[in-house]
Amino acid sequence: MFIHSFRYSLLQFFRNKTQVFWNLFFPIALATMFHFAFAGLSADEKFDPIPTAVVLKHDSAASASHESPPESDYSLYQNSFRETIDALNEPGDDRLFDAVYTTEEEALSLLEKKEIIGILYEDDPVRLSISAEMTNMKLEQSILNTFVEEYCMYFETIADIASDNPERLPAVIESLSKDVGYIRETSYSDGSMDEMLTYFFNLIAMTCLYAFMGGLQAALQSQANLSALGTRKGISPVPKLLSACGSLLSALVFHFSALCLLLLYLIFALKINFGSEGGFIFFTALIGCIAGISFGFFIGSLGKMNENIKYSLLMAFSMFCSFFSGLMVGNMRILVDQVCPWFNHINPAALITDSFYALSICQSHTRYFENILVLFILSALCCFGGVMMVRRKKYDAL
Amino acid sequence: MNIPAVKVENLVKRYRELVALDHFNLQIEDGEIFGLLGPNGSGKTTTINCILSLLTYDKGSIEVFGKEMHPDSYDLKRQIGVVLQNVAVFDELTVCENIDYFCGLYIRDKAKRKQYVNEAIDFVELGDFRKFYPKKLSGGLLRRLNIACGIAHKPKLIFLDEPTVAVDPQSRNKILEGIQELNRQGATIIYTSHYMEEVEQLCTRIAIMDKGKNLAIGTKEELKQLIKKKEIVSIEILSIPEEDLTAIRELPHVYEVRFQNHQLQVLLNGGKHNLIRILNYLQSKELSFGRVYSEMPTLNDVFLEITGKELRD
Repeated sequence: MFIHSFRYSLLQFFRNKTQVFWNLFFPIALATMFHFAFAGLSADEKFDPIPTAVVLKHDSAASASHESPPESDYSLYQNSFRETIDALNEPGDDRLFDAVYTTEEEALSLLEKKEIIGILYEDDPVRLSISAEMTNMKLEQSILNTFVEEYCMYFETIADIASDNPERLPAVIESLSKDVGYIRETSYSDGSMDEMLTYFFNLIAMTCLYAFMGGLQAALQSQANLSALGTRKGISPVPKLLSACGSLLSALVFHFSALCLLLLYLIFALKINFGSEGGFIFFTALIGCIAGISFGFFIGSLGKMNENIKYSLLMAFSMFCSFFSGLMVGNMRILVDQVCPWFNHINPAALITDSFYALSICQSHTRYFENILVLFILSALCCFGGVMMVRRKKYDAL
Repeated sequence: MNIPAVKVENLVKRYRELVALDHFNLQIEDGEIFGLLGPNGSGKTTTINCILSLLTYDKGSIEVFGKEMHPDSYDLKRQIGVVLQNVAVFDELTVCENIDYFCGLYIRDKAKRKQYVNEAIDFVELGDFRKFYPKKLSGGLLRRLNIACGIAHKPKLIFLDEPTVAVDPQSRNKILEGIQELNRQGATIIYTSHYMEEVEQLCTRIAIMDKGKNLAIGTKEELKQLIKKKEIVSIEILSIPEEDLTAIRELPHVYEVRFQNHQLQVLLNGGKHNLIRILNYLQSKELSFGRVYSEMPTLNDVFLEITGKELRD
């Protein structure tokens, strides 16, 4: 009897166009939209190193060939300047300059040919020369200018310390030199640390919560006081809980299948990098689905409200949770964490999103399992409440 | 002694202050087509829901096939079929799948179930619509599907709660024939409807209830004996003097005479040869008349006289 209920319930889910749309096509469409929108943003944000010529103070062949200049009073400072330029010239995502050490004549020639944006002179203080004709390179020129201003500020600081506390000069220069380095984020799971990824996490969380539709249907069709189908089932010789369990399991199979398709689409079609924790990603989706179904089952079983009211309530709940987990505003979860931290610990969408996030950044799975445990407890509470209401055998009124 | 199919004793059901069933009694014998009549809100559906153990009740007892009915009485439920007033089918399942689903809640054996489903489809003549989804069916076909879902498992006791609401005459006729066929096959049927002619045509016994009470019960002939009106004689006549109307009123068994729109109506409370007596009087007074009708009281007359003519919700 369980298999009979399960089989036909599953058939209903897969044939229900509304369910298929909201749980499969809508998330896929949204994911595709996110993908193209963020691809545009990434392209806009991509920064090419600024072609720059550097003319050292010891303007010689040795300098031009980038050999170490001889030690002098300013040797530490000179070394610091060159180290700074070299650090910003290092290949990588955060490379600022495409610098070439050269003579002044050659640098001017390159600037005239518009092969470089500006010339940095290792003078006292450092100078910048740019071409007024290159009006389309204002951003790059501005960056060079900012660099020079900041460097001069450091220079003055160093000069002051050199006169007042010369013994501390090496330490200060070392400290200032470190500032040009970037803090590199490291993933422990080969996952991408792209901030845009959190939008996809939120999208998956929203789809998990949309599984409420399955739980709602199971509840409505199990209660004689909520639907004619519930009445017909109620007078059949099948225990209500058995029939409801069949419907709930079929809801889980349907919604988890839809989520798997969404995940596969994200991974293989949109090439979203979820890292090496694939099994956990799918497990999180499964737990998220269970949570969504449980919420739907609980609200569906609660009271005699009209089906449309319950549906609207649950849809509003899903969107509310998704909004505060950052589906519409990326850093919303962080804001909520500052203002009302406990809410993130009970918001199912935030828990699902944070689980994905934890899988991407944390070496240990402690935070991940904490989130999963809370989701599990919330689901268990809702299921328990739903079962207590569905198991009612007689009604005061229909 | 035969065990009654349904026995309801002193049933009391309250919805807060409202008494929906007031010490209601009912006994339905095995093999009957039993009509349950009553105005809106009289307690018909509440009675059925109590018998089906869907509703709680405050007092009384309910037995089905001699056993007390509980929500867990699965053996009893297996013998019951219900055709609800509201169509209860799955929009995403075809005609065949819907019947198979509901039949499957009662019949485990697949081969037997397949046979029953085919028989139910043939019974309601939905063979050409097996693969149709409910949304593609007309109102009449949908009602027939609703019936098939309720009776496919060949129940011994069938509740039909207004199964012909919003159905065209052809479909209604088909449904009524089907109900009689089910009864011939051995099923006891409890039928509720607002269509008096249906109940009169179908039911072997009828109960009229109002305000949660059983006002009258019996065969249609027995019920008709309960009311004053036994015969109505209608005669088309151009005009009739007032003294003749008074004289007709004095004839035996006449208790009311009306003359309106050239139509003389004489209401009688029994007796024989009433029509001849009235016509003889008219001829003796040389009053010319046209068409003449003599009608026996209908169930509708019985219903209106017992439950009153005031409008209900």
